[in-house]
Amino acid sequence: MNTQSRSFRVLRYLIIILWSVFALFPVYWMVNTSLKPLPEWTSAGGRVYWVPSQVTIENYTGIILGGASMANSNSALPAIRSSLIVGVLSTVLAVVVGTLAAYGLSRYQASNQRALPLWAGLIRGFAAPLLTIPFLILFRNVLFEWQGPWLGVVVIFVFTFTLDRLIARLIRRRLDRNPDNLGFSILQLRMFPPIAILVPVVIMWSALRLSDTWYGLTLIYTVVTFPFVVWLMKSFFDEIPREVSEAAVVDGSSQWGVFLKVVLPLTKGGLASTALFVFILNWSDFLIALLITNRDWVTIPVFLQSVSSAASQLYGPQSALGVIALLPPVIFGLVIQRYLVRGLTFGAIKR
Amino acid sequence: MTHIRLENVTKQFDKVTAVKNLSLEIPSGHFAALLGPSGCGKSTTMNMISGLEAPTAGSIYFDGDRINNMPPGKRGVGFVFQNYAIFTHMNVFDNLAFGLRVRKLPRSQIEADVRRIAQMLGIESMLHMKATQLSVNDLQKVALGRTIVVRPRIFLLDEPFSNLDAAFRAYMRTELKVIQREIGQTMVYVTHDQIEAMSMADHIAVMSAGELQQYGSPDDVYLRPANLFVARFIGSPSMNFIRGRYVSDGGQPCLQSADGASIQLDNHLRQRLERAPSPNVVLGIRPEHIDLAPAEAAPAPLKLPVKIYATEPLGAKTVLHSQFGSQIVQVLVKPGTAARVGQTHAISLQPHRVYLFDAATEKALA
Repeated sequence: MNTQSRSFRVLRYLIIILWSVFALFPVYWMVNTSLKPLPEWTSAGGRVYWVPSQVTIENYTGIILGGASMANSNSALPAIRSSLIVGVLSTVLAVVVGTLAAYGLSRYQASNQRALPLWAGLIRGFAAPLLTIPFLILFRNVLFEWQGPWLGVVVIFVFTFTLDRLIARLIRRRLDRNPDNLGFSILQLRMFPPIAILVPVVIMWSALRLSDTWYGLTLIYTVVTFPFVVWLMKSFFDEIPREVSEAAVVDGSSQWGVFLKVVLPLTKGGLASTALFVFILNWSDFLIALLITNRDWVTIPVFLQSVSSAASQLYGPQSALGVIALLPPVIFGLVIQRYLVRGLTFGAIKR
Repeated sequence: MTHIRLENVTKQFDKVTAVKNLSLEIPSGHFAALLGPSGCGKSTTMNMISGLEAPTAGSIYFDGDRINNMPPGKRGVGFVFQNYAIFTHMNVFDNLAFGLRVRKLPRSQIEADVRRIAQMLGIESMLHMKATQLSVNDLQKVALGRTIVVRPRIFLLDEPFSNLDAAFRAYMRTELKVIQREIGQTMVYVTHDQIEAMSMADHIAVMSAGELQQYGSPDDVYLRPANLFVARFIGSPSMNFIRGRYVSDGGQPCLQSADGASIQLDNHLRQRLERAPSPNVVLGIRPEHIDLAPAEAAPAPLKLPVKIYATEPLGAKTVLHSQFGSQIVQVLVKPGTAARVGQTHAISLQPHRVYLFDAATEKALA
C-alpha cells in the first residue's frame, strides 16, 4: 500500500483539496450570504465580506414571513409547501407505478423480442409525433378556436395515436417483427428534450384545468420521471436471478408474495437510490413549474427568481431560501444512506 | 411418497424442441437421476415436474393425478437450485422458515421444525447469520434445508452440488443419500456428472438432444448401454470405439477398421456379427476390459497391436493412451505396469465385454 512517494501523496491531497474548495465554494457562499445583514450582501462600498461581520437571521425571517422591506413581499411558505407536496407525491407515484411496470417488463416480457433494424426503429420512434407537428400548425386555428381547446386536444391525440398504429402495422407487415417494444416506448418518452413537449403539455393542462394545481404539477412530474424509474428499476430486477423468485414460487408464494417479500427487499438499495434521484429531479425542476404554475402552486425554484426588488436581485433572502431548499434532499439522502451504502449485493449467487 | 409418471411429454420453445415425447416413470420413494450433457432437456424436464414450465404436449401424473395445470406452489414439490437461490436479505433462520411461513404454520412449530432441520444439517450455529456471510458450502446446506423443512412429496434437485469443491461434493453425495433414505421421499436429481448419477440414483434416465436415450438402473446403463450415446457418456475414462466393417468373403472373416487394420474375431463375436443387419458396425470396449499382452505373442482373436502414445497415472490405476492405426484406444492398467511411451504392445479385448453398435442407427446390437 505505502509504495507511493511522499510528494505524490501530497499532490494527490492537494488536488482533492483544491477541487473540494472549488466545488463547495457556492454552498459556502450561499450560507455565508444568507447570514449577512443587508449592507453586506449588497456589498455597498465594494467590500467583500468572507464572513458576516454580524450574523443575522433577518434574511430567513424576511423570506418566511414575507418582509415588508422587500419588493416581493410574499412569504415563501406557500412555495415551500408546494414544492414539498408536489415533490413527495410525484416521487411516490412515479416510484410505485414505475417499479410495478419495471417488474412486469423484467419478468414477463421475455427476452425473445428481436430488435428492429435502425431505420425501422427511427421511423417507429419518431414518425408519428413528427408528422403531427405540421398537422398541428396547419389546423391550429380550427383546432383550438372552434369549440375551445378541448376538441383540439382530443383530435390531436386521436390523430397521433392512429398514425402510430398505422406505422406499427406497416413495420409488422414488412419485417414480420413486433415493433411494439414496450420498454423502448417508455424510454422514448425521454428522448425529446422536455421543452419540446412542454408547449403541447401547457395547452393540454390548461384545457384540462390542471394548470396551477398541485395535482396538475404532480401529474406532469410523474409522467416525466416515470421512464427513469422504469429503466433503473428494470435493470435492478434483471439482476435478480430467476431462481430466487422461482424458489419462492415452488414454496407456495403467490405472485404478489414473491414481489413484496423476496424481489422488492432484494432491490431495496436500488429502490432507495431511484427514489432519491427522482425526488432531486422534481425538487430542482424550474422549467416545467414555471410554465405550469403561476400563482397558487409556484414551487421554490420559480419563487426564487421572483425574489427581487425593482433595482436588483435580493441575494440575502435568495440565499436563505436556497439553504432551506437544500435541506429536504440532504435529509432524504441521509435517511436512506444505509441502503445506498449496502448497495446491490445480491451475493449468494455464483455465476 | 409419490409416484411420478410422465407420458409423451413434449416441450417446445419457439422453434427449439427442448424435450421430445418423453415417457418416464419414477416409483415412489425412489431416487432417479436425469443425466445428460448441457442442453439435453434435463432441466426443462425438471421444471415441468415442478410446474415452473408447462408442457406443450403430454401429461404428468403424481400418484395417478394429472397435474399439468396445477400451479407449482400447490404440487408439494421441493426444489433445490444449482445456484442455491438463497434469499440474501434474510438470515438463515428466515430462509429456512420461508416455506413454513407461506403455509401459515404456528410460530412454535416453525421454530421447532427449523431447529430440527438445522441440527440435522449441522448449521444450527449459523441460524442468526446473514445469508451473505455464509460460505458456498453452507449456502447449499441452507438451500437443502429450506426444501427439506416443508416436507415436500417430491424432491427436485437441479445440479445442486456443481458449485461445491470436490471434497465437500463427495461428502454431500453420501449425506444426500442418507437423507433420502431417512425421509424416504421420491427424489429427482438433475446432473451432467455421471459419477453423481451412478453413485446416488436407483434409476438413471440418460438424455440427449431432448430425447430419452435409456432409462434403467446404474448397472443397466453401464453394462447394457442401449446405444452409442449412452455407451460414450457412461463410464470414466469413457468407452473406446473402433469403426469397422465385417468382412466374411474369402479367407478368415474379420473386422476391417476404417484405416485398413483388421481384427481377428473369436467364434462368439463372429456369430454376433453374422446376425447384425449391416456389416458396418462400431465395436466398443471399455478401458477396464482390455488386457495388456506382450508384443511378441502370436496373433490371436481380438488381439491388437498398439503403440503407447501417452500415459496418465491416476494413482489407483493408470490410463494408457495407445494408438491402433490412427485410432486412440485407452487402456486401464495397474499402476507400475511396464509400458513406456513409444513402445509397441499388444492389447487383448475381453471377448464377453465387447459391445457392438450399428454404425448407421447407433443402436446396440445383441
